[in-house]
This record gives sequence, structure tokens and C-alpha cells, in this order.
Amino acid sequence: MIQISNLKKVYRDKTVIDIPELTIRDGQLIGLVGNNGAGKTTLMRLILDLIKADEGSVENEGKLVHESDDWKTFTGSFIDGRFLIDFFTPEEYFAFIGKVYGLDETTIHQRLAGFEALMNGEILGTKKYLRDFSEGNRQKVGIIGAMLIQPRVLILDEPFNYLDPSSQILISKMIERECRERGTTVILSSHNLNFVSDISTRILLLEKGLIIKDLANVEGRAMTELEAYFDIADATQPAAEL
Amino acid sequence: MLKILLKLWWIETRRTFNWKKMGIFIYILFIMASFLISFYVGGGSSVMEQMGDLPFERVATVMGLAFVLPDFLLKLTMKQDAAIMDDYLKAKPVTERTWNKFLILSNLLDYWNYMVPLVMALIYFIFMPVGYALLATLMTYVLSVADGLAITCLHKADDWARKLAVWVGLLFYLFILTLYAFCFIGLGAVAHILGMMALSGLAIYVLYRYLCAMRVYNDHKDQASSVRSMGRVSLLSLEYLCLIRAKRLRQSLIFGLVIIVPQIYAQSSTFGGDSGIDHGFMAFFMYFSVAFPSIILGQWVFGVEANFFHGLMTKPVSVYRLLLNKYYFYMLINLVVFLLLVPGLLMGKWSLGFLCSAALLAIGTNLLLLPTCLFSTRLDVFSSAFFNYQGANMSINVYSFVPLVPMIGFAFAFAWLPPVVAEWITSLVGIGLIAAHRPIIKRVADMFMARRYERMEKLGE
Repeated sequence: MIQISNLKKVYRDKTVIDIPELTIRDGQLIGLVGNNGAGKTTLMRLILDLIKADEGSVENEGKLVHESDDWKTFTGSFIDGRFLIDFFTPEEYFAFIGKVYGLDETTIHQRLAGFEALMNGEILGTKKYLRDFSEGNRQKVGIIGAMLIQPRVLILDEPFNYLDPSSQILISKMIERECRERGTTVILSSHNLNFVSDISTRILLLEKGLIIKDLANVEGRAMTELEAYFDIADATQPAAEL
Repeated sequence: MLKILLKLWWIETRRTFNWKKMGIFIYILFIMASFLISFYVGGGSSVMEQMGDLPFERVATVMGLAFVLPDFLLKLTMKQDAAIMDDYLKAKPVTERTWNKFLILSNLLDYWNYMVPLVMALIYFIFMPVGYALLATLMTYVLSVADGLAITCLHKADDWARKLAVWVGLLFYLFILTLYAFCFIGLGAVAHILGMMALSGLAIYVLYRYLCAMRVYNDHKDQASSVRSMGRVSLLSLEYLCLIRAKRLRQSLIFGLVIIVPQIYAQSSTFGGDSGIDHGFMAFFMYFSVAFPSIILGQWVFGVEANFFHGLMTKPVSVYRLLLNKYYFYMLINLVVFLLLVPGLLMGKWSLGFLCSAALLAIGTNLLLLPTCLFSTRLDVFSSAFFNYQGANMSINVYSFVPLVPMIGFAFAFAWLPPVVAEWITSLVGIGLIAAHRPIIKRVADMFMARRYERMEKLGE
């Protein structure tokens, strides 16, 4: 369970995150949505203790993330390309993650086999360093790296970015299955409302650092509210009808 | 269109101009010029002695020639060219012909190409009549532009065969220039200088034609590096893999090894005497030889990791463990230099006690390098320029004096004390520091963790 209390982050005079109370229960798949600058990535960085909260705290499985490193052993995450080690090959990167999390070589191979469809023969055995891969394939390596450890908490920022349509669908199904079958708590952010509403069990709508809507997403019903908020229906109408 | 390109180039040059880089360049030129002058004035070899009898303007071509190769090598490490059109230009109506004209014009205007003539002009104007000095300066400028254009060709060449052609051409060009400078020294000074300019002008024309003949696409996929596989990976392998695969670090270390290790062998003859001064200088060079690889790498602790630090900090990897691995890795590279110095024992150039005491103290004092993690910044490991200040900051520049302290201490110990006593004292200090490395590193790690948010923000920039 992730517990957020009175969390506040301020850059200069601007409050970019202000969340009085938020509880994310085990096994929930949280979709973070919001316009640019809403605070989605900042919230994830605060949960991962990458930036300092000006006020309040984040607890992951009962321990404050800024006081204990225990959460790191069961939390997988991928925020951006800075999570990748550019001078490693994908094999070395996965082996490195395995080493850090105490996975043996056989386990790594077994788990990587589960991602074969996503890798589509373009990642392993290519004899290329990560810096030489396309953004899409780097994104895949980052996501696989986060999921390889079979985390109890998975945090992904914009996982569908740069990916081709097939990979987007595949990733969304994998995340959803990870949550359903293994009870993983997932927090992901995306601008793709369709994917978010398809797989999330709960959607948090952020705007200027505030959670302005906390929607239970039973059978994708939150989509209507999201569409209304983002004015999608109106925007897609022909000009004459507006 | 050419005007627009030149305008763009000017904006970029203004915005990326680096005074420090330029300062180093001028300083190196100044040292070389002083060296040449002292050779001319004092007489260094029989050839130079003979030339010393000639008026200065008659040896202007030789002076200019002496700068061709160093100028080329300095530009190779420092000059950065837009040799290939960026995609945003390629997609605009800029013809290849216009681009090549731009390349030659930008070389004529590039400050790298008139720094050598400016420095040389000072010398020419001191030692020659004004007319000759002007002509000699112009000759040096033409020689420098030819060097600069050769660098542009190297930057534009996208495969080894095209690069090889430039290198072979350079060797041929140097051969012809040398032949001309010495064999035709009997010509009048003006004719001699004009002849040299004509040869460089011809080289510029050939290089320009070569630039025009090269059709190169800015296709990064072709530049994907070949994988140097090292098998299994671990936290320690992060250290050597980045060293092997990041051109910038690899270059600086190899450059250091090639220059400094032969240096200590050479210095052992110069400072082989029994005086305290000789012992002190020898100790200084010995410590520096063993310690320099770790000093180079230790300037930017976490500078490489900064590229993926956020990823590391979300994994169960402690800063203490990272620093500990760094310390062990520095120890390993010191030992590599130690091994390279073992033949000196067999040649009788130094004693085992002397070598071991330098190695122990160097390994021990590597601890002094680790606090740079508290103010280092991100290092772009894939940039290739050797004199690259990206990643440097004032704190690092100031802190870089710290490794000098043990170096000077080691030198003074050998200068003032009997060698055996100095060996024992410095070895014991080294052993003491090695024994205490864990608590010291723990302290540094704690300091880092206390300011980790600020550090992560800085490293992420």
C-alpha cells in the first residue's frame, strides 16, 4: 500500500504538487492523467524519492520512502531514458538489473522469454549499445527492466510513448495482466486516455498539482467523465455544430 | 543562402565560445613558440646552429612548418566542425555546393585557424622587419587554414577509408613542405615564403575538392558502435565498462599512459643522481605516474553515473557500495601502472621499496578523490573532444589541487629523508589509509546522502 500524506512540492513560488491525502491499495492499477504541467511525473518522482518533498511524506508498504530503502527491493520503475545505462547492451542491462536484485541467470532468461513478443527480435542479440537504439526500443528496454524483477509496486511514466500501435497494445495488456495475476500495484501516467481507461481500476485526474478527480473505473466508465473534462467530444465536432 | 549559413555559424560560434579552451590552446602555442625561439637563439642542434646564423626572415618558413603538425593535432582534439548538414538544413533548399563553400568560408573565419598566426605574428614582428613579418603571418595563416580544412575533412569523412586518405595526404603534405622549407632555404626570404604559401594554397584546393567529392548522409544508424562484449556485469563492471566504451575517458587514459609512463623511464636518467633534489623530483614523477589514472577519473566521481543516476537510486544500490567499488577500481588501475613500471626494477632504474611506497601511497590517497562526488556534475561520456569542459565546474577545478598535496608530500619526504626512511613512512601512511578506507568512504557516502536531493538534481542536469 502506498500512503501519501500532506504531500507538497514547490518550485520557487509555484506549487506543483499538493496532495493532502491519498491511499493506493495493493493490487490497484492507477492511471494518472492530466494536461502538461499537471504534476504527474513530479508525483512519481516523489513516490520514488528522487526529489525532496517540501512538506508531507510518502509511505510505501508502511515505510517512509525518504527514510528507508526497503521499498527499492520490491518497486520497479521507469520514468525516462535516464534510467537506462547507455553504454550497456540490452543483455548487459538486464543482467545488471538481475545482479542488483539478486536474480540468477536462469531466472533472468526465463523472465525475458515472457517479453519476447514485445521485443520482437529487435532488442536481444542485436550487438548494439542502448544509446544506439531507437526511442521506441529504448522505451521497451526500460519497461522490461522495470517489470523483470516482478515488482510488488510498478511505476511507469508515459509507458506508451514512442511505441508502435502493436507494442502499445501489448504493453497495456502486460501491465494489466501483471496487476490482475500477481496483484502488483501499478501507477502509470499517460496522455492516451483510451489505454488508461481500458486497463486502470482507478484514475486520478491531476491539474496544477491537485487531484481534482478520483474516479473508480469500473468497466471503463471513467472515460465519459474524462472526455467531458478534456472536452474531447466538443473538440471533435465539426465547427458548424459548435 | 550562404549568407544565412554564415549568420547561423556566427551565432553558434558566439554562443559556444569557450575562453578556457582558447586559453589552453594559446598557452600551448606560447610554450611551443618559446621553445622554438630558445632553440633559434641558443642553438640546439647542428642544423639549428647553422640556421641560427641566418636572418630570422629566412627561417620563417621553418618556424611556420614547425607548427603545422602540432596545430593539426591540437585542432584534432579541440576544433569542432559542422562538417555535415544537420537534418534541419538538409531539409531546406541548401545545395551541397553552397554547403561546401560555407565550409571553406567558415574555416577562413574560424578562430582556431587564426590563433597560431596571431601568436606567431607577435614573434615575427619582434624579430623581423614589418613587411616580412606581415608576409610570414599570412603564410602561417594559410598553413593553419589548410590544417583546419583537413580537420573538417576528417569530421566529414564517414568511414575509415576516407579518413585514411586524409591522414596519408597529411603525411605527404608534411613531407613536401619539409623538403621545400629546407631544400629551398637558399631562395630569397620573400620567394621562399610565397612558395610555402603556394604549396599550402594547393593543399587547401585539394582538400576543398575532396570535401566536394564526399557525399555523406547524417545517418546515425551507420555510426552505431561495435559492441565490445565483456560478459557478465556487476556494479564493479560499471566502472571498467564505461572506461572502455566511453571514448572521452578511454582517450584521456590512453593519452596519459602513452605520455606519462615513458616519461618516468626518461626522467630516471635525468634525476638519477644522489642529491636530495634528484630524489625529490624522481619521487614526484614516480607518484604521479602511479596515481595519474585515478586522478584523471577521480575528478568526476559520479559524473558518468549522473547519466543514469535516477535509475540507480530507485534500485537497491547504496551510494556507499558505489563509492567502495570506485575505490577498488582506482586501486586496480594504479596497479596496472605499477605493473608497467616493474620492468624499471629489472633495468635498475628504481628500487622495489620506492615503487611500492609510491603505489601504496597513491592507492591510499585515492580516498581524497572520492569527495568530488559531493560537487561533480554530469559528464557526457560519448563526447569525443579530449579537452572538453562539459562536466567541469569551479569546485572541481579548485579541488583538483588536492591530489597535489600527497604528491608534494611524497617528493619532500624523499628529498629530505634517507630513502629507506622515506619509503617506510610513506608506505605506512598509504597502508594506514587503505586500512581506514571503509569508515572514510562511509563518511563520504553519508555526506552525499545528507544532500542527495540537491545532488540528484544537479547530476540530472
